[in-house]
Amino acid sequence: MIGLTQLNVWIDVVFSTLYVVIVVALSGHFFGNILTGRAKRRFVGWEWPAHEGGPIPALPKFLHFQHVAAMIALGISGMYIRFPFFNGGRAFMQWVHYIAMIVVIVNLIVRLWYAFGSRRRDYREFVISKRDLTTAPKVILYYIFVKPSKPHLGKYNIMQKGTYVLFVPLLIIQAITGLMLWRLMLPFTDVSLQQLVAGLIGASGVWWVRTAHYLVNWLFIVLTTIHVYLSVTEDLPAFLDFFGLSFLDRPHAEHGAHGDVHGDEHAHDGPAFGTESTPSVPVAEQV
Amino acid sequence: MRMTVRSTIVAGALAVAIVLPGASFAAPATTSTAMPAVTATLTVPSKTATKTVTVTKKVPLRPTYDLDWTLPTAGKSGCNVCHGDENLVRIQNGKMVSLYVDTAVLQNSAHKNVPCTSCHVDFAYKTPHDAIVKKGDEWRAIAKLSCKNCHKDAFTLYTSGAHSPAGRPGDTSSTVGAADSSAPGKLRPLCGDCHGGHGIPSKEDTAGKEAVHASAVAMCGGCHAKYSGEYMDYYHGRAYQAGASDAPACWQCHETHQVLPAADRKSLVNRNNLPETCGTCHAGEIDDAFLDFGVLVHNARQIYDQNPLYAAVNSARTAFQSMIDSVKSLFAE
Repeated sequence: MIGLTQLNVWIDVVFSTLYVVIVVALSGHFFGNILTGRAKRRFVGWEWPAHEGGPIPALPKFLHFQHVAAMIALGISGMYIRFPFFNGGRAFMQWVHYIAMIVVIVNLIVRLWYAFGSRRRDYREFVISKRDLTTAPKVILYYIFVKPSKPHLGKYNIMQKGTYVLFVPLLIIQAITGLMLWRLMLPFTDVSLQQLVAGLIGASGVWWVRTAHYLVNWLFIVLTTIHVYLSVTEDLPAFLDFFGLSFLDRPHAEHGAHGDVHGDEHAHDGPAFGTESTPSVPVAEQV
Repeated sequence: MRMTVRSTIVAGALAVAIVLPGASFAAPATTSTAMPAVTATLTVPSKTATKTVTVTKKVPLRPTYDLDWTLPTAGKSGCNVCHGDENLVRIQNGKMVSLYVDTAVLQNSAHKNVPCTSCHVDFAYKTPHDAIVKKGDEWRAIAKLSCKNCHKDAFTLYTSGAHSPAGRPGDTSSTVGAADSSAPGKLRPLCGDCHGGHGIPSKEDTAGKEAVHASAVAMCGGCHAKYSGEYMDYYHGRAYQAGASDAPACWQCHETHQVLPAADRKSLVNRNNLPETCGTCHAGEIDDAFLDFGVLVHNARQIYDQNPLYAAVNSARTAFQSMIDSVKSLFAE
C-alpha cells in the first residue's frame, strides 16, 4: 500500500504535470479555434451564441462573483501554505484562507438554497438528462473540432452541467476537510477543530484529511482553468455579463437562436429561466 | 639627607609610573624611536617636611603600537582607541585584514558591558599584540571558547555533544569528520563559530534573534551542506528557506548545544525521541504515520527523484532544454 509520503509526492507530480499538459492543450485548442475560423468569427466578428431566457438575476451573479474571488484567494493561500513561495506571510495566508473559506461556505449554502429552495429553483438547468448523456459524444466532437456545432438541449451542455454539478460535492468535501484541519481555537476553549478531529481519527488521520483536501484543491484548479478558458472562448459576452462588465444583448429571448444545432434528437428538458421552447432553426455550419 | 635622596628616588619612580601613560596617550601611535622628555610634579611626604619634587625623564617609545597604557583595562575604551578605527588593518599572509571592531555593533550586543579582555583573555596584560598574533589563529580559538567562563551550563552541554572540541568517546580524529559523516573533514566548531563574535544579540533584541534564526542554514550549512541543502520539505524547509520566521531553524530539532547524531539515543532526532521533539510544535498530532511523513524534512528531493513520473518529466525537460540550447547555439554561430 502506498504510504502517505509517496501519495503526497504522487499528487504533486501528477497534478503539476497534468496542469502543464492542460495549459498546453488549451493553448493548442485556441490555436484550433484560430485555424477553424471560430476565433475570428467570435473575437473579430463578435458572433457569439445568442442567449435565451431573461437576464441572469443579480443574486447568482453576486454569489458567483464572490465565489470567484474567494476561490482565487483560497487557491493562492492554500498553495502558499503548502509551498511557501515567498518570504514570510504564513500566518497572514492562513487568515486569508480562513476568511475565504467562510465566504465560500456561506455562498454555497445560499446558492443551494437558491437552486432548490427559492422561487426560481434553477437546479433544473443543471440536471443531466438521458439525452444529455446520449448526445455527449457529439458535444465532445464539437470541442475537438470534429463537428462544427454541438447539439443544444438547454442552457448548459452536458460538459458544463457535469462540471457545475461536480463542483457542489467537491465544495462540500473541501469545506468539511477544511474545517477538520482548522487550527484556530474554538471560542471559549483551548481546543481547535483539528485537535478534536485528531482525537477522533488520530494524527495520521488528519494527514489523510489534509491530503484529500489538497487533492480536491487540484481538481478545482484544473476544472476552473478549463471552465475559465471555455467561458472566454465559447461565450465571452456571457462571461463579461456575469461580472457586470457588459450586458448581454438578448434579441432572442426565446430559445432557438443560440447558435447550436437543433437536430432530431433535440428537445428541451424544461425552460430555462421560465422561457418557453420554440421550434428551432438550425444554424449554418460555422467552420 | 639620605631620607631626602630616598624620597626623591621614590617620587621619581612614581612620577614615571603615573605620568607615562598619559604621555603615551598624548602621543600618536608612531614608529618613531624618539625619546620625548616627560616631566612630572609630585608632592612627596617625608618625615620632616612635605616636599615638591620635579622629575624629568626621557622615555623611549615602542617602535610599533603604544598601547601599554590601555592594558589592563576593565572597559573597552582602551582597545577601541585603535580598534574603533575603520582604517586599522594588518597585512597577514599577503592580505590586508581589517582589525576594526564596530563599536555600535558591540554596544547593541548582549555583551555590551563585557570588557574586551573577558573574551580576548590572552590579550590582557600583554602588549604589544604582535607576539600573540604571530602565533597564528590561536587567539581566535581562545576568544571563541572564552564563552565557557560565563556560560558554564551551555558549555557543559556543548562538550557532551558531537561538536565537543574533545570529540566524542572513541573519536580520536582532530576533526568531526570521518568521510561518511555529515561534515567530513570539518573542524569541530567552537562557540564563536556559530554564535559569532562582537554582535551576539541580546535576549531583548528581537530583530537580532530573528537574524540569527534566519542564518541557520548558512551557519550549519557551512559544514553540513548536504543536510542544509536538503532541508526543503513542504512545511518546514521551504518555509524556512523562504525566510519564514515561524519555520524551524536547524537547532529547533537538532538541539543547540548538545547536538548529537540521530543514532544516539539521547539525540532529539533519534526515532524514539521524535514524538516529543515534533510535539513541541505539533502537540497532539504525533503518531507513526505522522513521523513517516516527517521523512520528507530532509529527503524530499531524494523521494521526488525516485518518483518515476517526476524522473520522466525531468528527463523530458532536460532534453527539451538541451534542444533549445542547441538551437540557440546554431544562431549564436
